[in-house]
Amino acid sequence: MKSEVKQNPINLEADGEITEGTYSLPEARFLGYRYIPAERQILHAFLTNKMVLGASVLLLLFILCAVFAEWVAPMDPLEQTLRARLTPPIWYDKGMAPFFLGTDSLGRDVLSNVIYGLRISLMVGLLSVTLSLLIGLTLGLIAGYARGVWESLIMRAVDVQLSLPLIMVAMCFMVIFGQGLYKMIFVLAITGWATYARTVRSMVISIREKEYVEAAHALGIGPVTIMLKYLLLNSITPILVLIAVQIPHVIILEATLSFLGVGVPVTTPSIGMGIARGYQVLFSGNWWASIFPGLALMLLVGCINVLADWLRDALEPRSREEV
Amino acid sequence: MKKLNFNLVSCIALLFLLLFTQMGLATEKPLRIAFRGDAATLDPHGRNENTTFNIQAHIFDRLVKFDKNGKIIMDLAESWRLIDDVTLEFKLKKGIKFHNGEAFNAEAAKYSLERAKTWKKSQWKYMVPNYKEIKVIDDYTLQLITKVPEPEAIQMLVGINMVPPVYYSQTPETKLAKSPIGSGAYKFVEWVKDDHIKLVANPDWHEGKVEFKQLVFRSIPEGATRVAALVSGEVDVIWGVSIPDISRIERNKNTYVSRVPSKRSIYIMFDIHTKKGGPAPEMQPGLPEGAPNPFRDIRVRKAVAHAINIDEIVQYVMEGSAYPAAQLISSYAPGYQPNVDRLPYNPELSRKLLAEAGFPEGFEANFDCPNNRYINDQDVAVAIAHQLSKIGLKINVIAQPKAVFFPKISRYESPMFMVGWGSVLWGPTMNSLFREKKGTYGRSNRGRYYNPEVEKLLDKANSEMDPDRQKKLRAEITKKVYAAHFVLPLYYQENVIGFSSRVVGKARADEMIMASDLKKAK
Amino acid sequence: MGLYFLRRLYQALIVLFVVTLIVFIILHVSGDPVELLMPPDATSEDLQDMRRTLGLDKPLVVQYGVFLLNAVQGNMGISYHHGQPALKLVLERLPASLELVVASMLISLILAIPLGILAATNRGKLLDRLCLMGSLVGISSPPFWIGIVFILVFAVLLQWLPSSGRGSWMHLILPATSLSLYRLALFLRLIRAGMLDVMAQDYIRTARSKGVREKMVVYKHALKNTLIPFVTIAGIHMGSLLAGAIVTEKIFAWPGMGRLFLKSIVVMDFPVIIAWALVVAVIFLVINLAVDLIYVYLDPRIRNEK
Repeated sequence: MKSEVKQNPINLEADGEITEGTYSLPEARFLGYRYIPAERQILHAFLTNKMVLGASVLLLLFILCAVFAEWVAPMDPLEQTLRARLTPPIWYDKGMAPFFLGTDSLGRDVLSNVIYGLRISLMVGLLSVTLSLLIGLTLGLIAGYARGVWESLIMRAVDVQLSLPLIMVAMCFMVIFGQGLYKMIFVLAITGWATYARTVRSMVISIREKEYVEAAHALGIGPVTIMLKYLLLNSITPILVLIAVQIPHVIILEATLSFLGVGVPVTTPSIGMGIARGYQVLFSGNWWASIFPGLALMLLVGCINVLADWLRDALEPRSREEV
Repeated sequence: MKKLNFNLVSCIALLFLLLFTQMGLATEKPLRIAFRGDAATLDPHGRNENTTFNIQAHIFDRLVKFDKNGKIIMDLAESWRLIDDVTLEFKLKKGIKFHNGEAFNAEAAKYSLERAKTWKKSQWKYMVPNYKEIKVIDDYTLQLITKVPEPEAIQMLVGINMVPPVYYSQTPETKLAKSPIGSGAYKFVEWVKDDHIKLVANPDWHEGKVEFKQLVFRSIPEGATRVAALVSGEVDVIWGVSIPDISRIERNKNTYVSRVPSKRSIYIMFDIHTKKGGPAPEMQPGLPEGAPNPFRDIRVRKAVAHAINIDEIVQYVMEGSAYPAAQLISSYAPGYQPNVDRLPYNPELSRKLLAEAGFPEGFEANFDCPNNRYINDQDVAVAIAHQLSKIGLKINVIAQPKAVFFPKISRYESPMFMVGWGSVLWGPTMNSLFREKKGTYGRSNRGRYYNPEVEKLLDKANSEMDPDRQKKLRAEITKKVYAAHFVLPLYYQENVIGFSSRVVGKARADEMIMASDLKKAK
Repeated sequence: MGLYFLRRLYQALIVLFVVTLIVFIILHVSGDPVELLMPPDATSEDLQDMRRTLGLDKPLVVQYGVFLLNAVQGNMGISYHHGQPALKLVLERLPASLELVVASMLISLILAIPLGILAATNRGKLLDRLCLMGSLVGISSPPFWIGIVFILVFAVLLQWLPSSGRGSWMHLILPATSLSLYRLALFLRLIRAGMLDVMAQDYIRTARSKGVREKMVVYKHALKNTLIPFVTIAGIHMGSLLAGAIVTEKIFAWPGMGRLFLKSIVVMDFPVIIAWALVVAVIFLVINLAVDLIYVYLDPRIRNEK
């Protein structure tokens, strides 16, 4: 079992990305063989669970805030109160209601912007990962099952995708088609598929030689059925883990692009844009406008990472089997 | 443990080795000026852009130049006079040498003007008047004979750097881009791209000695970082202080700011050509598909003008660091016309005008602006859209990097957009903004304004050499074009320069920083 | 082995060719560089002249042909804005970028390896938990934001370190550290997990039961076997860091390739963008290839398979 991960070094995945959320697949798998000594397992489980519990509650809170932003946020995030610009958080002497976390340089409420920004972050994370998963899954299955010309075509495309720096593709794309939330999601999806395609392909290759697949083949079951039923079902675990680690990654990427001014449009309250706007006034003492969005982003990504770790442990039970 | 320790120590040693090789020590403390960007090229006729020209202006001289207050004064020319409508004669200063020893004379001036006009990659072609001939009368007399009368020839020449002909004609282009030789106050020493350019004082400069013997230009793109560098003493002068940082610099006891209204104005332009929303160029993609273009109606444009509370924007968005504008050319420039005024803030009147024009419920339109070009550009646009929402307009701000913005508006894909204008010349401004796009005219007429009467009047003004008649023409045309409310001037930016207290200096109206203006603090 | 190498090389060349093609097409349909190149008050005729001078008036196919012909001879064209060879502009800035990347890799490695080992050998104790928490923060924080916070704290508030530029070693500390945090956290976790994994293997147990000293077990056997697969991951990160340093370079005004790229894309300086993309892709592919080869060399099981 252990040698599997090392057998195909070409499989080691690496992206030319500008930001990073958490592990790429080989690292995740590398970690998947975590050894947990029996005598500490209970303690470990407890410790992990406390973290996991906390993270789940917090994440749930974030999600609820994002979904019900209209009700949760104290104000419209785009409403400007020019006269109240750069109001400090409420616990300062100059702070005032309803700007609990202060306002930015145009007098927009920082808290409301963070809440709506979380919605954008989560939406971008979930949607673009789903999309790139769909693309990657399809191509990976084809490459792994059909082999031959299709495989080399798809794998070369993967190579090209991985050696094209993501930021360049994203910036060029935004330049051609203009900025927009859905365009952003789309561009993150078309730049993220390669990782999934690679993983799925290698999973498929390792499974397709198994007896039950061959048996199914011999029974005359069509390739599509085989792919969906056996190959996909059996590679679902690593894919789930991959999704869990890719979501925070994409969330940070969106924030970075928005920070650079090539992400979502200005009329969309995004965390990255909030940080960028706050950055302009940061060194003149108005720290809240960029520090709070940054903290929120970090917490969100942190929670997802904790859950991703846990998911990996739970879904890849090899670490326990070995004990 | 031993092996590990060894590895650790060797790694750390390696790191420090790497770091220390980077250390360099200077002897005399140079004057360090930080701009937003680096010079794009050091070819004196290459890139035409503020920072590049500003840095080059230390190495090169010109025939005439702007002084601190934006008045034209002599530089390498001693005097000029108009012999007839098309002949401009310059007397040149004597005994001036370029840094490589070549002499500056009429031949050199002729070569420089010709290079700026004819070198295929020159971006200064339009700033050299269209000439029939440049005549060298004697070593220090030069005649510029233009094809047609050029009322603003002198003002145009402030951009053209003078170069030594032998060096510039015998050196490959790619080398000229990085090893400049001029006659200016400073000589070129070294250029580490995107980091710094080092210059040293030219003891033979024709205006005498400069106070700072060594000069370093740094490039720090982020405004906030630039301020941090000034406050912590890493640099002595910084260009373009953003508004919230002014108080921070003022609070610090070792730094101060100097502010002056800039020549750059910010304005809104409307698409008044297309009839309805749809694909460009026949229709307007920035409007809802099929919806009529409201900006064709002057009442709508006036309604927008009345709905913008410029004082609020100046006070709260620009924090007082801007000056309301009624026209594009700034008040100190020779092209300024005092006969136009802003429409006052009056949202009730706006609503009435909208109703009269047939839009009592308002309408929806895109509003494009750059997000990395002018001071607070995006914030201003967002604030304006917000003000317009009060009279019922649904204005979608589309802020984009300038690389997207400018090509887009040039393809006529925006019904309403915010841009800046930095020229102080009356003729080129009018010809570029208010004429049909044809030949050399109409480059910035991205809303397709066309008025045959204005075309005729401008043709006349373009070759009118009589000062009085020129003045009358200018007043008439200016009044006419701004009355169309096709261009809606917003404000002049302010040029804010941050200084360390070891330097005595003042901000200049032309957005430049000249080391030769600066003095050491006593 | 030789054949394998050749095949990889051939594949890499195809990838590079496709990369240039894609970048070229994306750029050339995306906008008009001349509009941004010329000053706003230049006339339309000047713009047309410039378009002709730069060859942008020709059909796209012709432009790509010219580009390819020159590129094969190592000429990536002249930068529109800088008037100098684009490839040279990029390569001039390579040392600065490498300095940043290498320094940040060194910081992550120097801290991650010992901390990872300590965490693994002190599994479940306070130190371990601190390391895990710290690394969680590290992998969850957006690097660009960390950079901003660093400038705020160390350059603006405390004034200990310069905020921007390149020069003395002091200038390197903030950008390199902020760039290294994520990898520091990641490597720490990898080393820790790898150590735990290896220490559970039979041969380690055998060594232990034979009475080999614990330190010997940890540092000689376990560490060695953890570091072998780790080398590949570290190598790959090195390759992707070069493009990943863009935002850090921007925030700290570091004069590297990334900043040149950002500047160029804002003004659509096509030759420079293509040269940059190509240089980044080449370095990425070379490192990947090297990592694969090292791996094949280090791991006898694969060597025998080929």
